[in-house]
Amino acid sequence: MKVIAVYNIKGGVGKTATAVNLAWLAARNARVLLWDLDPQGAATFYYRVKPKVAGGLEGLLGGDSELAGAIKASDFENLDIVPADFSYRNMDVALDHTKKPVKQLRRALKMLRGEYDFVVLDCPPSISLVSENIFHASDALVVPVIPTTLSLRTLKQLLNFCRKHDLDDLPIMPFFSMADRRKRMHNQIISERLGKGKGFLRTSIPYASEVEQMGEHRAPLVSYANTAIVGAYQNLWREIQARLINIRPNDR
Amino acid sequence: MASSNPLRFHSNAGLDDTLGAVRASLKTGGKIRGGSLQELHKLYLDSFDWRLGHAGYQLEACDSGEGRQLVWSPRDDDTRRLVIRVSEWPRSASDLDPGPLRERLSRLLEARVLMHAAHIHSRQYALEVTNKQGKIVLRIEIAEHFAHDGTGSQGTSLGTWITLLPLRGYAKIQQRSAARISRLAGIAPQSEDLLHAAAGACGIRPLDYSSRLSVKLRAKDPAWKSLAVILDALLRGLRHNEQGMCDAIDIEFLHDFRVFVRRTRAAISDIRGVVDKSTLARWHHELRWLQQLTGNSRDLDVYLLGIPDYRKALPSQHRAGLDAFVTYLTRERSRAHLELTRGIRSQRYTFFCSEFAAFVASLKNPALAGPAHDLRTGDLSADLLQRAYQRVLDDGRQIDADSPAEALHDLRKRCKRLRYLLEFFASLHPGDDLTRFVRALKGLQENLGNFQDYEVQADTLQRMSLEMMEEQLAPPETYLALGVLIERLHDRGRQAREEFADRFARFDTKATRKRFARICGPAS
Repeated sequence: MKVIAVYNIKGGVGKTATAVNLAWLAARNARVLLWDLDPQGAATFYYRVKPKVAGGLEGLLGGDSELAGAIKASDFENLDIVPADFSYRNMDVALDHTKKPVKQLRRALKMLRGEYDFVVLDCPPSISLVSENIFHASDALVVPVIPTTLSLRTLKQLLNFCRKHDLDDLPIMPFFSMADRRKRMHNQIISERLGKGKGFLRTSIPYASEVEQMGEHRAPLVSYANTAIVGAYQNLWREIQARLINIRPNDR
Repeated sequence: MASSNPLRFHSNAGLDDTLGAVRASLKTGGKIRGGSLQELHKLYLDSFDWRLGHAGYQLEACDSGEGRQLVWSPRDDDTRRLVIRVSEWPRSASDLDPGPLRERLSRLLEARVLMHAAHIHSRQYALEVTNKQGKIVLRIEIAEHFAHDGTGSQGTSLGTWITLLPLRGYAKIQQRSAARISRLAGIAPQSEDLLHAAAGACGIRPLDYSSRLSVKLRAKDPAWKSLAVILDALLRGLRHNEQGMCDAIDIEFLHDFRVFVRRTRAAISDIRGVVDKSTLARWHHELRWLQQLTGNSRDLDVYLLGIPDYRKALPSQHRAGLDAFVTYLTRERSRAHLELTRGIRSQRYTFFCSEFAAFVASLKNPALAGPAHDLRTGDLSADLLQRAYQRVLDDGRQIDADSPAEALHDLRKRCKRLRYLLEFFASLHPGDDLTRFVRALKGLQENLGNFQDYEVQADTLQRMSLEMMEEQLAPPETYLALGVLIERLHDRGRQAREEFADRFARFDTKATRKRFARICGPAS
């Protein structure tokens, strides 16, 4: 079971769109669990699931995690969801009260080993105890980055954080998201970064209004559309899969 | 009612009437979608020895006319199924694209191929029940199924089925709907799943074969009776593999055939005294013939199967050198298979089968009796096992660093004979002790097997290399690659030899001896 977290310190960079579409693509030939960790519950909404976990956050953390009981089937084959719950907004505090506060997520997911081939985490923005849990639970971080100076700065912050917290071995896969080819700055940053080959995935996800329309369809874009952005998500998933092959199981 | 598995009902009404009744019975805050008729062709795939079924899985292949999909599911939890689209039905795991299903299948099937366990033709309505958000909360299939033999005939009707598929997290809706459907007139629960119902209609019994020997003996029965049960099971096992071996469906048919021949040889040699020695001489002779007839083909299978490992063992510049060797092996394998098939289709083999069966049926006859003919099976088993175990210990303890290779080869044979006896009498010694003892014995056998295999492989490759040279079948690179490979095999053999003392010490422990004493205690 490989755990992939779609993460960025910054909000509004396309994390949820990436998570819901990658999860659907992964589920074409593997068993996938999408865990919506963001209390806003956008991923849960896209999959038409009720944003409610029986027992709330408390039931998911600690020794007797009831994560398995919180799982809901999606409308798509091979793809299940742990929905968001409004109680997730207090996750930091709840984690702080547990025995091993940075390994609770990892512990909960361990119980699902053998049931799923991939777990995709749709993560809330910010850097917190929740983020540390995500880092310890994940085999790789997929980081959508808008090609702007500010967004690159948050990526740098993330890399620094990992270095300082003994997470050097956590594979980080940044890629350009919401790239607007009409903007000179976007083009310049993308060509510079990809030219340097600094760990960025080669695929960029273009800015597209179709992504916003997912809310009307309440389904991942890749499941119903046949446009350029769908091809981009497919390429992105192929690249991630290729990198995952060489990643050793997480023993953090 | 389990919520992670489909809930099935049988309907006495026709397909359309059942659809109408089911629709009317359902309550939903949302909608009931679907309802157009589909024609489906389903296949259940498994290996000849039901490896998927024995491991608790089911593989269904479904062709709806619009596309083909494989559905892999644990038999006890349908919510954990994996569905993938394919263009062709796979014959082996390697026919699938890389991915989790291919990994799962190759782990279970190894060299086995998938065969068609049951064919079903269905006329089906698929309903989706949604909630207020438009989310699917229940899937229902209403279908008329026909089991057939795959030749295109309409087949045997299995009637109209209603299946409520489980959706994880929505078990209550499935159960509530099932309760409502069960109250409809002419509806009864359907306990059998589709695979078993279809297989039954075609005279197939799922899980009816395993390469493991499974016989139930009784300690108080006379020895001749137990020997008859064992030999009868062995002959059936052997005959079960005959056709697949001749048709070369996969290499495991031949492997299993040979294992049954070896077990039969062991049974008539080592379950001593039950039958008069002179009577057994003929069967020794015939079984040795079968062993020799099939030996060459099996050896060549093993070498061909080992090619990827051989390539890995070679430095990269020598790997391509093995290509001509593969061609040579393939040619030899075809020849050997022809010879094998001729032997199995000969009168000699036909006579062997019928006369051996007659011999097994006549074991009660006092004219055939040896001194242990009427001994209690429990007593005979304890005596034979103790002797065989003692021989392993005596021989093993005498081996030191200077002992010749033959001493290890002989010990390997002793271990094998003990293992077969344990298999024959396993039902008299239920429990953990036998399992754990066999595990310890397996560890030793693995080491001895490796030593023998590497030695034999190195010698055989040497011989083959000379044959190829004489016939000028390969370029110099091939002989060079084989030379390096032979050296590597000798290295591996030496390593196995060095590990022997440690492996034997791990087997010859006080705990294992005590365990064995418990196994041979009063038989149940």
